[in-house]
Amino acid sequence: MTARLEVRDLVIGHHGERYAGPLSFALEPGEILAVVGPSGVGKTTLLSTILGSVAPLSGHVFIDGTDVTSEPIHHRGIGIVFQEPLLFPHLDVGRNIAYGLRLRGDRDPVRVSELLDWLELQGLESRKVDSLSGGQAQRVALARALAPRPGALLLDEPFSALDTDLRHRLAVDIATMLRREHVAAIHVTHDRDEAAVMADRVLSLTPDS
Amino acid sequence: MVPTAFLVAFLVFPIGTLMVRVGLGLHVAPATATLFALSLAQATASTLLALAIGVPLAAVVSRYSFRGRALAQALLTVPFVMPTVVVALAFRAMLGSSLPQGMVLVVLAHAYVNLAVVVRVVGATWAQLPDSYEMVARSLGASTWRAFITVTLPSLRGALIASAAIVFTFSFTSLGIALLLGDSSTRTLESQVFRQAGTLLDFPGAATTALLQLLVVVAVLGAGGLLSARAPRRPLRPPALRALLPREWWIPALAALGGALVLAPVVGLIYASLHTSHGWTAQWWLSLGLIDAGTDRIGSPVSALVTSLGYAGLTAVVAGLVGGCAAVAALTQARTRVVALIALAPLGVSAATLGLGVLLAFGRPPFDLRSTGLLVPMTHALVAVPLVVAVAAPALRAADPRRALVAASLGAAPTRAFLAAYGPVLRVVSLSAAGLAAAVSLGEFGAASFLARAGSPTVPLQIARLLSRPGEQAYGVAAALAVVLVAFTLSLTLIVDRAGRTT
Repeated sequence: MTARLEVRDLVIGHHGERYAGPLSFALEPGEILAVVGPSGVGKTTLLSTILGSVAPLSGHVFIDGTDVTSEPIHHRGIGIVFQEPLLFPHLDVGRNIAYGLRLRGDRDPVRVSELLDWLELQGLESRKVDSLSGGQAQRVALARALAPRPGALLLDEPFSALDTDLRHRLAVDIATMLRREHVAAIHVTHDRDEAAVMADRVLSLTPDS
Repeated sequence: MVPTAFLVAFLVFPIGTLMVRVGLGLHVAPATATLFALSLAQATASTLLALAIGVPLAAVVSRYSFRGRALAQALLTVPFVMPTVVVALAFRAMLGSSLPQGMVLVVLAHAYVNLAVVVRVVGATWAQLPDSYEMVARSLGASTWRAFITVTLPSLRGALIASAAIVFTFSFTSLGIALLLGDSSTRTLESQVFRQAGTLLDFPGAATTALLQLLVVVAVLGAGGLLSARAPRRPLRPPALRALLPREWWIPALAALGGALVLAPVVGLIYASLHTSHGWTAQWWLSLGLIDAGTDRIGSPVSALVTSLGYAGLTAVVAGLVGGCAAVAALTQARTRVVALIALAPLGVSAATLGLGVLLAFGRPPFDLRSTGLLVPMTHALVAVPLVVAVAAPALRAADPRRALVAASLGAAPTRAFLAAYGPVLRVVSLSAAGLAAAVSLGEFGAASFLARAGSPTVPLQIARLLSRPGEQAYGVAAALAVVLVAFTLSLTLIVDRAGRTT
């Protein structure tokens, strides 16, 4: 069985300066990798490199066995959720979630209402995004990322702006969702407890790795 | 690319032509040296007065919460959008009988016009300063005043320097106010350019003066930019406005006084438009459509208004496009500084200099564009582009670029992803920028005085012409026309302000 997301000999850095690597790992569908490490070690750069907004110094990224290293972001099929929800302010909740589907010409409302149900967002579909609470907004961001069924999902400290209670509940919910959807995920976090709750494996980045 | 091409055609080429005209032999007349010293003194006095009045008002409207604060803040920006010719006329209407034309009147009018610069620039920084720093200083034993001097003032330094540099530049290169309120002691280099080129037809002399002025302006703005760039970084979320203590009743009072100060010249103007030496009258308003209203057949005030509105519309389109492109280009990190600098370049070149340069470059073969009617709007667009960039770039930069990444990760192609992140901001910003450019065009005097065709003056030109004629009628008609111009400019600014607040 080919891996959902594979990283092979990936060296990450910026402007020729090496941050970490070579890194190699492969994630099966539904598998979650937590990435922990001190600030400045390159955790976010690792995500940006896999997403495609930063070029690797060397190495490759594969999705379902296909090398996507030189593909632009919008052809990779890799979703991302940042620390802030970054919802599109001009679209309501439903349209935010449907954004990726509509780009594919998919106007099927079933997928959207399914995600609204799973993430306990029922009844919020036509709400403006600036009327949501922090937890709700982050759930919408997650639904938006999952809607077009990405091969892999990158989570860049998505809970750090939320309070502890909410954080743990959301972490459990998301882990369940990812397994149900067979999405491989990389979860960058500062919080080792959070990593333990969600992840199948943990990658610890250190300045000399 | 678009902004660069536009700037090369309408800024670099005309100024280059101007310099070629100066030639190698610079002939600075002894009179110019005196003029230079007087201009420096006048601009320094204007800057200090604007700061002295503007800084307390900035504190009041940007830090405290009280009823009428938003209104006071809006009123304080009024002077800046008033065309200089109109300000000059209003000051004459208000103070003309008690103060002779000259240095005092010019400095007062400059401080008035630039009040908004100080209030906006200093106030914006002040509103971002958390109270907590001052509280810490107080808890360590500093008095209110000492906490202000040792903690707050250093944080405001950048904004103070930046606003001082802008006010100095505006006062130093002032034309309308210097011409209409000044005497021989207050001529600016700008008005000298105007006189040398327009009246004496001494083009090499005018070009030399313009170049001298350009050097000073570039030096002042450059120094201001360097010194204010070291200002400390601000937090993203502004702290809440401070509620008033009962003993701070003077704060709303000060704001009200500021508002009244700003409105006084406008009231004076309206009064002048409705008054003759015999009492109240509507005759100046009724004669706005007549071809010889107040003059001997230089065209009716209404036709000047039509001309101005047409130019303003064209300016809005051109400046909106060029400025929008420049602002978008400024988003790319590597190019930010270069584009920002290029787009701000016209700010350093005064309007009359620009007008003269464009006239020399495009006013005769091989590039004779005078008959196309495009010279005025193109030049106005150039004057407006820095303002458009100043409005558009920060708004675009405030939009989180990671939204584009999110859109791309969902399958949006680059253009589409860009629009997802910036589209809503861009729409609002380009509308407000176009409105701003139109407002600039409506009030601009210096460049238009060189470039507008004799038979079809713009409104500010018409007002200046009317004022140069003796008689009550010319004065009354000029006042009525000025009220109309203020109404147009203010409504445009209001619309821009509204649009800006919804982002």
